[in-house]
Order: sequence, then structure tokens, then C-alpha cells
Amino acid sequence: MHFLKKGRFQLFALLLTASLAMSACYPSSGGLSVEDLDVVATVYDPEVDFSNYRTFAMPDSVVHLLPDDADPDDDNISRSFDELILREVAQGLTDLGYVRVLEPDPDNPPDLYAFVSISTTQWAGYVGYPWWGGWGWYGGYPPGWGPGWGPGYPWYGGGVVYSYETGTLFVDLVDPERQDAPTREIGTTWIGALNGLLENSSAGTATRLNTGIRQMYEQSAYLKAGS
Amino acid sequence: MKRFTLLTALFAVFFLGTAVETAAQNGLTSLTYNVSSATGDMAKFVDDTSWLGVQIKGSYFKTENMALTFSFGWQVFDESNHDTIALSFDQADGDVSGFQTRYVNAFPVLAGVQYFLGESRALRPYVGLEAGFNYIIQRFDMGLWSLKEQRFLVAVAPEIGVIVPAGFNSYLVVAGRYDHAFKAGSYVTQEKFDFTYMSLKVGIAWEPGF
Repeated sequence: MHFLKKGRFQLFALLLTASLAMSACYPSSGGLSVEDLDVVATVYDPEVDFSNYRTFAMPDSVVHLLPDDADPDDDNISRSFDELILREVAQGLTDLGYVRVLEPDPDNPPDLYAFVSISTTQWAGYVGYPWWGGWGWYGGYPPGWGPGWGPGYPWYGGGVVYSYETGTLFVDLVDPERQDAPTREIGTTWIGALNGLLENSSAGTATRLNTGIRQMYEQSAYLKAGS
Repeated sequence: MKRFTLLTALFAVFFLGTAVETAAQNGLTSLTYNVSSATGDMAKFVDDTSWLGVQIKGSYFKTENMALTFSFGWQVFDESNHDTIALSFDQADGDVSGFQTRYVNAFPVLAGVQYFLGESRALRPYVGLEAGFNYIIQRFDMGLWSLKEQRFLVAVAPEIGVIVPAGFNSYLVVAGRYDHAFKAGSYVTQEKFDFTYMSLKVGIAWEPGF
């Protein structure tokens, strides 16, 4: 007697492989902490020799980037961490050998200006409950129902709505000698960006900002100042 | 695209089922658990050993020693790390770092030949070579971002192994296999590369009447 009859084998193989192929496997996804979602990106102009720079200056505030059509009164980005951010950005540059100029002279500007800015984005999504679509083989049960029917949530509207807020901290190093008057642009030599999920914990946010800003400099070894 | 993938897989399974059942009249059907390790440039993307793999193969004996084969497999590679990745643009260079997870799901669907040494119902070493396609799903997760590309790649897979009689018209199968899918299409990485991996296969095979 055959262990698997022809029809049974095909059905077995069909069900087995269909279940495998319906969704690829991603075993490492899940179980991530908020810190695990932080990403640090740095971009630089490869034609710039940073060893030619020795001094820097920076404003004493963090710019909040808002959409063009936004009312400035709608700025709800917290300033709780501005001092920490500015301190860490300046300390990082100092550690790389740059000397900070506290009161820059327009006639004798520093080699670089460091500008710090923040933007935030609110994201929202909706997860429905694909009852018949997801469990197609239950078609016809219970009697009288079928595709197109599904459980209702009249008190809620159906499904689950979720939202989260992300933020990005930008640090720009700008060379005032590389300005282009016609376009009114000043040449950026280096950009550091820290992107992540915003959270309510002050301690957690402070630690992540510290770590992220340090990582910006750590992965930019070419940024070392000239002596 | 996912629906297309599913339909392709279902078609492959139907074809495989027919081929395997045909083979079962005069051959072997095998089911193996595969442990794999990426090689070459693929190992730069995902280097950890893959412990998730399976393959089903039908072998139809045309002669005492030579069999035609049809196989379908699934191998999952994944790796998490905090690597810093160098970026290169037209007028700028850069780096990006953070916790990242890389995945490759490989679904090889191949046909080929096997050549067996020895006699039927005995311990039989064999060599085989298959060709066909490998459906590759490549995914890269970093921070709040996820990149995914999927494509059919032309593939070949040489294999060497042995079947050992285990009674009741069944055999133990131990084999080594090399899968090579040739680069084409879009990648989540800036550089394209061949997907190549070595596998150790362990499983069972059975003849009609098992």
C-alpha cells in the first residue's frame, strides 16, 4: 500500500508549499526596542579636505523645521532637549579638534558653522480585520453569510487605528567661504542625521540623543580638524 | 506581486506533485532538511548560517543509474547587526548605521539529472546537477525603514550525496549542495551580486510501496 496516494500526495504538497509560499519567513523581526529603530546617516562632500578647517561657531538654538504652509504657532516640537543637543554637537566637534568661536566676527568668520535643526512627522495607519478574505475556506459558514460579510465594530468604526511620531535631528556643517551669491546658498560640507521614533521617556530620549550624536562623529573619521 | 508569487508557487507545486508522483512509480521521492551558509558576495549581505530550509525532490529513473529530477526548496537566511554601511552618490559619499536585519528567502525550482553508483536497494553515492530558477525575496530592515525586492533568477545547483537503505523501501539521504542564482533585476543594496549558498541536506527518500 502506498504511503501517499497520488491525489493525497498532490494535496499534501499543495497545502504544504502553499502555506510556505504565502508568506516569506522573517524570523528576526519583532522584539525591537525603541533604540533599535534609531538610524544615523552622514553625508559629506568628498572634495572637501576637513583638515583645512580649525574653528567653528554655532547658534544657541535648534531650528524647528515646519512644513511651508504651517503656522509657526503650530510648532509643538519640544525644546526640552535643545540644550543637551547643542552641548553634544559642540562637544563632538571640540573632541575632533575644532576650536569653538563663541562670538563670530563677520569680517573674520570661523572656518565652519554648525547648524542644528529638527523635524517631526506624525504617521497614522489602520489595520482592518479581513475576516472572509483571510479565512476564505470558511465561505458559507455560518449559513447566510459569505464573502463581503465580516464582524462589525459599531462602537469604534472597525479595525484598529494606530499612530506614531518620528523625529529627525540634522546637523549641518557649512563653509562660509563656499557661498554662492546668485543662488544665496552656502556650501554644506557635511550633514549628520539621526532618525528615530519619538517616545515619552525623557531619560530614554536623552540617552538616545547622546548616543546618536556621538555616532554621527564616530562614523565620520575624515571630519578631524587640522592642527 | 505577492499574488503572482503565490500563483507561481502553486503552479510549481502542482507540477512538482505530478512529477514526483510519476517518479514514484519508478524512482525516489525525497524530503530533506537543509542547513545552509551563504558564500561569495551573498555572504557580505547575510553571513549567518541558515537553519531553516527544506527541499522535496522527485527522481525518475530512466536507467539503473540515471534519474531525471525535479525539486522545490525553501531556504531562509537572516542576520541582524549594527554594521556601518558606506554610501556613494553622484556628488557625495556617506555612511549609515543602526540596528539592521537582512533577510533572503530563496525558493529554488529546478530540474536536472542524477547519476547513481552501485545497485538498487544498496548504499548508493550519487552526483546531480539541476537548473531552473530561484525565486529570491531580499529584504533589508533598518530603523523605521524597510526595503524589499523580489525576482526570479536563473539558477543551477550541483549536488553530491549518498542514499542509505533504511528498510521498508526507504532510505536515509545525506547530501551536499551548492545553489547558484545569477544576478539580475533590482536589489536592496547598491551592488548586485549572485546569490550563492552551500547546503547540507539530511532527510529521507522513499520508493513506491513505502
